[in-house]
Amino acid sequence: MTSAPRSSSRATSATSARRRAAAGRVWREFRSSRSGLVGLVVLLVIVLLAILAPVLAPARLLDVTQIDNPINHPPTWSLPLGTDPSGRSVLVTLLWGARVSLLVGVVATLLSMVIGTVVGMAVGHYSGWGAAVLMRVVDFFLVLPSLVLAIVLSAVLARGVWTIILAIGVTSWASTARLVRSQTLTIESRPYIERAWALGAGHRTVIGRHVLPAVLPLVLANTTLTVGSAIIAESTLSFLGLGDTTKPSWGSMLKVALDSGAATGGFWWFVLPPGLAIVVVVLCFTLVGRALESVINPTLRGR
Amino acid sequence: MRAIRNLVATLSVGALAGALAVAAPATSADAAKSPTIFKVAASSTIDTFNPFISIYLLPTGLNRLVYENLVQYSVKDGSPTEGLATKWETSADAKTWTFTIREGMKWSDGQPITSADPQWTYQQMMTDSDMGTANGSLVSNFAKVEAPDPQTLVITMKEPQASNPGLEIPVVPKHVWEKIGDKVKYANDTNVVGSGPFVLEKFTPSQSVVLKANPNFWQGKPKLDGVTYVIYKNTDASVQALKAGEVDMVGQPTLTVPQFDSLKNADGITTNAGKGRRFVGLSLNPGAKTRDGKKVGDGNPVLQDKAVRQAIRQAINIPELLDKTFQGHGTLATSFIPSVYPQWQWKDESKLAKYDPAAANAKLDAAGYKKGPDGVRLDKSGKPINLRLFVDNSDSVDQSRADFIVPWLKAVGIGVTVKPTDGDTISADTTAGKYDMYFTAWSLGADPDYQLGINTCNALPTKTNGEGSTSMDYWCDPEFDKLYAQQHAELDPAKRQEIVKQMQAIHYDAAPSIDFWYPENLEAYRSDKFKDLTKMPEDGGVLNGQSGYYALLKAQPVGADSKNASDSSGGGMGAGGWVAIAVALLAALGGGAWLARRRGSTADDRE
Repeated sequence: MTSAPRSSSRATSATSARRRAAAGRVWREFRSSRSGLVGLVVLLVIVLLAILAPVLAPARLLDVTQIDNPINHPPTWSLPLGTDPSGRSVLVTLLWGARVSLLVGVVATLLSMVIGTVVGMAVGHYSGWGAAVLMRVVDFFLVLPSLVLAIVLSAVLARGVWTIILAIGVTSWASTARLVRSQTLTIESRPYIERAWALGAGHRTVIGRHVLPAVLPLVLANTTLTVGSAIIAESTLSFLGLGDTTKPSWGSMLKVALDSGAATGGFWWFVLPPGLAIVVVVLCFTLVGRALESVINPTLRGR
Repeated sequence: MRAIRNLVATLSVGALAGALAVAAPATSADAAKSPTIFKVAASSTIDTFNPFISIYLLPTGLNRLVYENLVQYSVKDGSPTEGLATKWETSADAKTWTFTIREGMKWSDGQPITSADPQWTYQQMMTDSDMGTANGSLVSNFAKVEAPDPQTLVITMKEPQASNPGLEIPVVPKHVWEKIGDKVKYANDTNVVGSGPFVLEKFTPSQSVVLKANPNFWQGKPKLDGVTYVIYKNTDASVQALKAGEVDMVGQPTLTVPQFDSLKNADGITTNAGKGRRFVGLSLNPGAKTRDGKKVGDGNPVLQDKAVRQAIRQAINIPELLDKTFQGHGTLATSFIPSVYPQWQWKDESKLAKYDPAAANAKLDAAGYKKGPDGVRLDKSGKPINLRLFVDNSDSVDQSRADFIVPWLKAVGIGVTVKPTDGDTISADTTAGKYDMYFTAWSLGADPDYQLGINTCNALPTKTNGEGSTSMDYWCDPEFDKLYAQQHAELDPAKRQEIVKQMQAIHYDAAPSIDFWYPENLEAYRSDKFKDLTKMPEDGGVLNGQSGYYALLKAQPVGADSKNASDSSGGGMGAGGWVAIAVALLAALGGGAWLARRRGSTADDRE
């Protein structure tokens, strides 16, 4: 009576030890990619800054009625990146903008990944007319210009951060679904899946125990790569005035810069920082994503 | 109104497609030397050039160049002056207006202009409500219009009317228009026959509007051979074009302050911060209802309390708002009639409220709105007060104003949720009464009758979905209406002005809208190439968006010698130039945002 749980816990600990070892191996291989490491470190610093924004720059610094800075002022020692057309410090806005941009990028990507993985595994695993119809839906989303769809969505729904997340999430999952489907097909053709079927495993066991863990690394690498494009999509939508103007994001900073004529006025300190911030973050996500990809798919190495 | 909105929506889709096209069409500046063409950069929407339908600022402004009115606004102060008519008489009961038309005038195609033309024009608007889309309200009081002889026009009114009925309505040539089949759908955008200083020759959507001088204009042919409006999707691009000498005037719509400041010291360019005929303010929903008192929309009930509306006014530091969001380029407002019409503007300093959050707090306390645990006041049903504030997402000034207003109202215990949206949605929701607060703006003609009229109970809708509402703020007051009828029939200008001022005082006290300021129009032109541009009003007025045709009437090129100088100064692009190009490119790629802005200004652009 007592042996069963013990052996089960031993099995669990064996599994977790194996997973820990696998994770360690991934980490060692990842570490060997210098660019991936640089990307990760810079990214961690940016995320930390974004999380600590309320501490580093209290929210009252964004309240235009409580600050008394000159407007559109070039950088000084006390205002390292100058001020925007409302007199807010560009550095403070940039920090707070990182929160929105990163949040939207990450959450929208997660949403897109969840939809893409579920749909991809479903169409890869099941066959029949249901899967065929679902596949056509995937194809539909794949050929649809996602930016236009996202613009329409965020124009129709109430403006806000969550609308942007939804708009990006539901328009960008199709390629992930395709990717996951092909991986599912590859996995399911392997002998150990056949063995599982023979031992009487149901759909749940096959998908949950075997297919999902096998596609996850691929999804993870894909996620990191997609975050970058989600951040760009967020900036684009905010730049087009479809975001939440009450919360600063990098895209909305660029929009304010354009609308207020900052370019003509020569206020480079208001135009360049949000643009560069987008470039840096997207670059970091790409570096990390590429490194992860080459860990998972060794054939990519050395290319 | 519904018809207009549908039209606007359709056009917006077209504009989206257009926005994806070229952002700034290149113009060959000095290609042809002989004809003198004045190029104006414009970023406003064009709905149609059909004068019976068009309601946007740019096409209605262009029609002011094309069609002379029966009576014109004077360049000095906008008072009625000679147009097609040289003089007019009003009967003692103010019910019959008799106009004398100038002899010997010709349309641009050489046909004579007679009283049959205005008679036919007005008749169309009176008999077909679709032909009255733009200016139908101006003829609603007309009982009949007669042309007893070619030089005389007699308008008989249903009710006495003191404001001149010959103003504002473009008079079209009868011999051309009576041959047109579907007059409502007629685009009127090529080889137009007109009576004004310039006539429309050609319109290329999203690119340009070409006008040529009318040799038959009754004041003589203008000195310019033509005027071309070059369409820019982005004012930044138009500013660069002015610096490079590709266009000769910018400022339609107003430049931003940084753009304006960057042009101040530019060689060969003269800037003008003109006193406009607009007011901007914050509209509050005083409890939208139909004419027979049924509720419209879902406005927050606390705003039905006059004390709350007055407290909101006291909680907003309007001078600081003007200073911080528009760098002081405006005159603080006292009412909805701008200071360019001093004879009509009410301005009783002793009754004007000052920024005073303590007094606002006291007023709200006295009115029984107790503060809840988090500092937000509770309404009469015990719920925390939370007002929606609509913000046009494409308008950066709107956004920055909201950034100020939210904390100021929070300081007096009023919660505000900013709802960023687009101009079309704001327009639809406010008509349907589904709003608490939004930023409002109107351009006024020289006679306040229209603006006063939309504050009467007659402007309220009859249906509970708000359809057919022309009301400015969904506010009305029987006492105001009584004075409205009085001033409408008062022929003595001084007495009429006195009544109009009383009406504004009533409006100020009721505070259905908080009038912020009368913004200046920030504009600039190439003074090294052209001179003798006329502002309206002459003293400190605007060049763009006039309610007359004066800006370019007397404009003429500066001598050929200075032309070379301009070319050398135009070449250098500022440090921010390349950034501007990049940003403009991004905007062109994105497209849609700009049309929202244009649409957002629909209400403002309405005459």
